[in-house]
Amino acid sequence: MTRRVTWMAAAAAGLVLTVSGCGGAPPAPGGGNSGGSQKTGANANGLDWNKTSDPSLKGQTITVLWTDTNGPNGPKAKLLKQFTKETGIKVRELGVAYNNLYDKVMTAAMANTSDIDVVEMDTIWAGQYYQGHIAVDLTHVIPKQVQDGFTPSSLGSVTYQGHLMAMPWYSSTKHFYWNNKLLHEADITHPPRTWDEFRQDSLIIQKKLGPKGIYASGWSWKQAESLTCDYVGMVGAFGGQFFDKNGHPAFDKGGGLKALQFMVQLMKDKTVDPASLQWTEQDVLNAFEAGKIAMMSNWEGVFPQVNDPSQSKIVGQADVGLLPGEGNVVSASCTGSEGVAIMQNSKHKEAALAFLKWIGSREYQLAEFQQEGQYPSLKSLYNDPALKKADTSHTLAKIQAQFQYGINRPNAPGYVNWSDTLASALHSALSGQMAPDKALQKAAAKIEQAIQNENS
Amino acid sequence: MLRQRDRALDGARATTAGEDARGPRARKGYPVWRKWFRARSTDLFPPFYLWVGLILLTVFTLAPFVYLFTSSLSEKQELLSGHLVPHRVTLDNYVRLFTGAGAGDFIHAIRNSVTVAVWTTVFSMVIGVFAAYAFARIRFPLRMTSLFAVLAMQILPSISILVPMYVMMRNGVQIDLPFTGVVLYQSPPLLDTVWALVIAYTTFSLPFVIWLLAGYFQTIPLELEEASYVDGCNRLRAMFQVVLPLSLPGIAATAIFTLLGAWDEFMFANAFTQTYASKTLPIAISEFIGKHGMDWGLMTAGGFIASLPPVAISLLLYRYIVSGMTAGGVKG
Amino acid sequence: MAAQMATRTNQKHRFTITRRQWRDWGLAALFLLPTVYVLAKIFVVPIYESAVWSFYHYNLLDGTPTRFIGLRNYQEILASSDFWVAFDRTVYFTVVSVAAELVFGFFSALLLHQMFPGRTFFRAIIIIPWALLTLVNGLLWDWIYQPGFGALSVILHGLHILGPHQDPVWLGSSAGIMNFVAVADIWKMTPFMTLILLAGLQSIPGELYESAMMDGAGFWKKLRYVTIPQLMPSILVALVLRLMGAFRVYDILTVFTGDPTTSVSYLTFNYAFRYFYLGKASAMAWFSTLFILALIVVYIWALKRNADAQ
Repeated sequence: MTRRVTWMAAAAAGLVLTVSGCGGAPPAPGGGNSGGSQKTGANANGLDWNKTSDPSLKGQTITVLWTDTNGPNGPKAKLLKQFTKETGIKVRELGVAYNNLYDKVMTAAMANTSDIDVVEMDTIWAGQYYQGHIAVDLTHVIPKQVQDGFTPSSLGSVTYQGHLMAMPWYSSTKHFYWNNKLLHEADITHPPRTWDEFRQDSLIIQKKLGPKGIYASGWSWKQAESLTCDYVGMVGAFGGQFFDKNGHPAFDKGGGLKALQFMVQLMKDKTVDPASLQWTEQDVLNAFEAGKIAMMSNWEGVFPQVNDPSQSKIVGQADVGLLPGEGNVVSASCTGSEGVAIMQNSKHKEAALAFLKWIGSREYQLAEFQQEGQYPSLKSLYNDPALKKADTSHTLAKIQAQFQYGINRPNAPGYVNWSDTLASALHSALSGQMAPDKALQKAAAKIEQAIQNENS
Repeated sequence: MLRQRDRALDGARATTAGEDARGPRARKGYPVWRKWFRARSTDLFPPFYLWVGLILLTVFTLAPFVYLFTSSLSEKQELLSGHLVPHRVTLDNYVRLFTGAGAGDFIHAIRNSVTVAVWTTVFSMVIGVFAAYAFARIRFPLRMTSLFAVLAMQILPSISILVPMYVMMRNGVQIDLPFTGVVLYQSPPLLDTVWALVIAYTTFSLPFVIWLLAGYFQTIPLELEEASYVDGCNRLRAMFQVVLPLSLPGIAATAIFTLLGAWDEFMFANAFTQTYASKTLPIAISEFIGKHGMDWGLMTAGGFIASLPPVAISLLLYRYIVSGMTAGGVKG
Repeated sequence: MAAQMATRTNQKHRFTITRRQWRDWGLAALFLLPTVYVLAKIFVVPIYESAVWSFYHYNLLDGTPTRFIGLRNYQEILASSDFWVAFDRTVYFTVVSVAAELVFGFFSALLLHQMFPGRTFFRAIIIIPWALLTLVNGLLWDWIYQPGFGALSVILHGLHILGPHQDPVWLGSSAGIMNFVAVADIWKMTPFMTLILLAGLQSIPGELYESAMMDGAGFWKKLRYVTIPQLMPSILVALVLRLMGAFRVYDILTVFTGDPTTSVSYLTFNYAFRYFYLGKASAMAWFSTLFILALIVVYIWALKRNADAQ
């Protein structure tokens, strides 16, 4: 047997060497043109904001990879036709599900393809897009006065360490929703403004409505990004910091610790639907629509669904407002704004820039709100009569108010890894397996270690 | 040979069962119910336990599948109220699936899945059948070693070849003569085509085909093949006229396994597909999971539709699957 | 099967090479050529590249330079608590699900081997779970495990096993998740086990049972002295195939939880395609591959010793 194994190894090695013919180091990531161009400023890419209507761009085709599962006849695809009509630039749309997007962008970047010109960028990927040389740095490409036209929150979400990595696409944060009817039944006259008040109200609701199988609140606390998101908002509300000034994890003390202790307290009060530990945002919304929870934190754009009698039992009962704060903090909420970026390997960067310019235009931003309820990144639109007219649920002002209190997740390259580590710690604390301080200390040590490894 | 006996027994089933009811013990004056607790001499289970077992087996096997189906006929409100069987049956989920916004993609996905599964199977079988024959029937140096190497390829995780393979698909596949630099054929880039998937799936289906078929070929008695040499056949003819026809159940079973494997694959498909031109069913279904959660109605309907072809194939060809399983393990 | 082939080779091995043998070798080479070419092209080269990567510091997205670091990736993996948690859970899952599949599959095969009216029907329907898409299987069970309105909770409430105010969160903790994933896997893969064992049962002559019956053997004795020894080769093959499959568990877990430390494959995938630590991910992939290879070598060695002893 031993001999056979040796033979096998030898044969395999021989085969490998003869076939491949060569060994060698792995290819450098992000293409040969990376590194230098990044540091000398984005203008090295030769991109010019004023040349986007250059006639030479007509007839070029750009490939756009973003979330769109509505197919070639969906609203996004129709808008793209409008762009082609205006500029003469053809668009090949690769519409994928959000969950497959990140893999696709990264695989394409690793393979150094120039197939894809424009990609969606979630706020948490900004660091990777910059450090991994995936997207073009737009800091000096998009003129300052154009940048100033966007809401600070949507602009901040697509910026990493001062580098603007994408065109702000839409604004998004989590919001506070409540069921007026259920609050009324529990004799609560107004929604809570602080988390302490939230807890007191929860206890009252639970006492009065609990016997009916209703819970005061429900959360997206499955061990996943949705949990980290809620925690980041809470850390903000309790005045905590994710990292200290020197870049070391600081969420295991002060506000960060208080935030988790508060979340655990809610679980212990039994005012939180225990299924929360298995829920993502959609599940929370489902429970809210079924009238099983009185309060929730969720993203914008739930209204058409909540007031649709075929899907919801609580038509006309829901309202939205600011997430509670604590102490000096009025409100704090995790942002989920996204941008649209130009791939560094793209061979049609100027045409891609024309596309980004159009994405940032009033025309597109307004049309997206009208057709898909996507909240604009442009400041001026929030006072635009056309937009107000399209706001059929009359929640625009309340949604917009929350955008002022958005908190970005740390969007450094290592974020995705940190978030997994953190979600694991948060989940074990919430499910009662570990004390909050122990769990956070462990996560902080691990993240510190990961940072050390990256720098070593 | 086994399968012939099996068929004969199946055919004689009705009469055997009938005779059994008035078995020898019943005649000797045993109470009738006793026979329910007595196994026949060649059997293991007394009828009572047999049927209890069968009922349990059926319930556990079918219940989740039936639940998938009934859920797909429910409205969202019913799903979220915990109705196992809908109070009001609706085809709404199917209507949304086939006429809704993503309908075009889903129908394309069905077509792509069929194409990919069929071509992967054809490709792997045509190449694999020769290799399997060589492993099973021809003595040559390093035979066992190579067969183990083939098995080892089955174990290696697909993740490790995903990126290099992506690069290959991006550049197009080259058919060349090794060491000469002569390129016989250079394909266009294959990303976002079904061919990228066919090639990728061959990496795991070809070793599997060889492994299963080599096992099956071994169960064909050597004497039959040797007899054909006496008739003046050479090896190639012996293979096509004796071994392959006798191995038909094994070949069919292997083909079914390959087909189902290709139908099921997710990881490569997720990496290589971009548009409706190449997205397969697992990808289409995974897209029902939105950024913040799941559309249960669409998932159950889509999942049911996507599972119909493999379930139908398995039901129709189950006999081949069972007899094909004699490959491996069973002494020839 | 492999072991049998191995012993056969040894028996027939001769050191003289005849013309017939040369011709056979030529034919074998011809027959193997397409396979070797295709596998070398699309499998060996990529695999080789990943082996090279496993010796490099190769982080794609944090801007650090790629450099050769020898065995450090392997050392770091072996020192990482995440890896060992994932490893333990994977082993736990593999052992639990494969053992249960073996037991259930064995008894299902026995049932379906017996002669009774409607056997074809029963044999056919058990294949259904196995034919279901893996992804759909994961989503289906996630749906069943939904707290409150999922089938599991509804049924347990219906049977009054759960009180009206008890509403457990089935997938609440990662350690618990492994059991629920195992149930989903057992449901889907038991038919596979059944089919292999059913095929094996067909080669056991009925006379053996009859003579056991003459000796007064009951149900368990028949199993112990006839069925199990006769079925051993099939059982071993089924075990190896399932062990390899179960150890790679990935799809279902991604549906159930965002916790990558629930399986080695999940962790490897996240290292490669979420954090883009390609060097480390390659090392992890190679480590688990070598582990399974070692298992299989041990298994084949045991088989061979068994065969020699007989």
